[in-house]
Amino acid sequence: MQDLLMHKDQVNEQLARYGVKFGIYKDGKFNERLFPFDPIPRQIESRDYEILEKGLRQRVTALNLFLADIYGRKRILRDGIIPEEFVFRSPGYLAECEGITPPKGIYSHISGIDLVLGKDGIWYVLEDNLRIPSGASYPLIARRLCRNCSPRTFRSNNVRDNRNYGALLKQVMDEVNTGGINVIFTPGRYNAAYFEHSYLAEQSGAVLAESADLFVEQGVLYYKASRDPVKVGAVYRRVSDEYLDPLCFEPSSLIGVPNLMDAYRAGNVAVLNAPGNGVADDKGIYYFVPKMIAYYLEEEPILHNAPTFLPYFPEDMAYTMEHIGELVIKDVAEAGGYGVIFGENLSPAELEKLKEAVRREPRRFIAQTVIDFQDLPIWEDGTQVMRKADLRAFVLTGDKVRVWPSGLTRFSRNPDSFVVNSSQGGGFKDTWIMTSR
Amino acid sequence: MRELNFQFSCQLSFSESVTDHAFLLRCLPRQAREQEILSLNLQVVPEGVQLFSGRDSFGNQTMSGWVPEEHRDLSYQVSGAICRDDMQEEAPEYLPCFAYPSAMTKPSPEMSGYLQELELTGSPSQKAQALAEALHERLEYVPGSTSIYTTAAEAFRQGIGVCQDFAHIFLALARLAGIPARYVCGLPMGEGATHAWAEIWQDGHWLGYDPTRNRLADETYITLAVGRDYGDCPIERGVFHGTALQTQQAFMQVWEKE
Repeated sequence: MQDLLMHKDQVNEQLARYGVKFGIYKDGKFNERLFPFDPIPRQIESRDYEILEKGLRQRVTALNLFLADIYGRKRILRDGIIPEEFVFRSPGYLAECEGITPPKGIYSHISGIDLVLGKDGIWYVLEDNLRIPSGASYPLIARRLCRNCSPRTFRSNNVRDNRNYGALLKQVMDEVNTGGINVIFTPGRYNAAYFEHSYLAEQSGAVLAESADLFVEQGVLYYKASRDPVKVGAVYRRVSDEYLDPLCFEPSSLIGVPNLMDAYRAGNVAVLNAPGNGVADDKGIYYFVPKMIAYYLEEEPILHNAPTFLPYFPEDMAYTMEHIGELVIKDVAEAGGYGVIFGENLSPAELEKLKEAVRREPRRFIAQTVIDFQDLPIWEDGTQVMRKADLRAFVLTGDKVRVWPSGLTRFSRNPDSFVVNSSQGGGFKDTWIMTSR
Repeated sequence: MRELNFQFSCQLSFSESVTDHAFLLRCLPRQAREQEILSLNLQVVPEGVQLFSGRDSFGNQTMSGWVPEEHRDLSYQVSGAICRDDMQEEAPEYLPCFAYPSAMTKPSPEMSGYLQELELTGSPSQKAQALAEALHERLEYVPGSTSIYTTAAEAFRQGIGVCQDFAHIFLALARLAGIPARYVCGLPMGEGATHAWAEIWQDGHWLGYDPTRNRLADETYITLAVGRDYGDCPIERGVFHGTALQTQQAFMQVWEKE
């Protein structure tokens, strides 16, 4: 392990050379930043991982059933488990997807589930990311660089190999493929995650394509290969829903493929992840995920939600108003660590303003108990210091639901911050899943 | 029950040649329980363009196409006959999203205030009737005063608009009043331009209101497409490569079948 610590700078230099960056929008400007790597890996013991894996598979299975239900029969709404307006007022709900059944009925092929480990030893899910969760490439590349710097670290520790991510991705694409090649569809090299798109294409053997490389004719998606166009059977698109198809969604989109939705609706191409998934990872819907598990699977949820209150319900509103100073308030319309307000950081006047905002638009906010989660050591200036960290686990769904035995551990570099989102300037670590020996 | 003949043609012209032109048409009458298609003919120029037929999430018939070669025109002509029967018993298609604001029909505070002043009472259809009448009084019909992107709130603020705006404002206020409603574009009896109106949901049926003309959108109206608002169901939408300016000429005719 000491060996790895010595290589911190070297690994970071290599990452910089590879262009392992992420981009953030701040004050209307786009900036690209390096994503600092910390060499001390997070280790998850085999028996803990078993529970985590089971819980993740259960959760993603239920979320997929929910999506099929919402864009189909809507049983969960008719049965009164979720109030209808949480679905139809969600910006993630896309009426344009009503009635579409994706290949094999799978909506969320690549799910990024964000968790934290509480001091009580329990994993809490903070957020489900079912649209286009990014970040798998960071630990993948970092592991490779660490392996190069210090091969014996991986010989002497029982770390599960994580190099199969590309193979898992390929398997999922193959399993939903309707006949044709696999494509990773990127908005282009100015996108924050472009390096990841090209890396995953390389790892999964898919063709990396931009909008100008693709077209739809007669309800079929084609890739403009050097000779004749080639049919595309599965497209892992890293373009968000609203820009995906200018003839269905945002008409001014220049990065989409016109009539892609027409081809998808006809069942001629698999789109990973399905458009419209935002309705299931909405912060307001999050509250209902344990209920979905009970409803669709008739099982007890294995993973816990962070204790959450919906001001929409009168008793939750009363609790939120009374305890607002200890709660974290999240704006359901915001993502990437924005719109997260910690009551304890506010002055009495600011608290009153926040209360007023919540009372005015109860549906717009959720309130959560601040979880006391376990800190992880990071290596800074030659010593270990403790920082807040979370884990993004990647769950891949094709014929089976498979959890990638690794994950992206992000930490906050600011010792006082609880927000570990990479948009907020944190760093990352490798995540070691240990074998049972 | 009523049988109607119709004819609708549209020509898009580009000031210069364009390529890689993808389009999606909703120019055919909607096949629905309350509207049966008796005969149908569709012609598209450039000739030889292969059309792909589908149905969107709102049940509208779609025709998509792709013209990669250079061209300066795209035109289509539809004709045929339909049978409209608003009295049939079977429940038509419904989506819960019709009860909620859509991108173009979000009500402004000004509109909420207006709705309160109206003090609508009675059944959904009575409320809708009163609303259509009030809007017809309040709004002025001025061709060219708005664009296809104008929202209900913007049109309401300026107090003028075209049929699309009348329909959007009607939808925003009907939904705010708790009445599920949908946007309709189509062909009313007579001749001239295509038209837009709205339908409200009551007791398992869709009832049509035309706030622009202050009348019921009855069996003399042919539905082409429906949606939450205009954005869901334009008759034609396209994207192409080129710097050309696009102009459009459309003409429609509907007459009662002998």
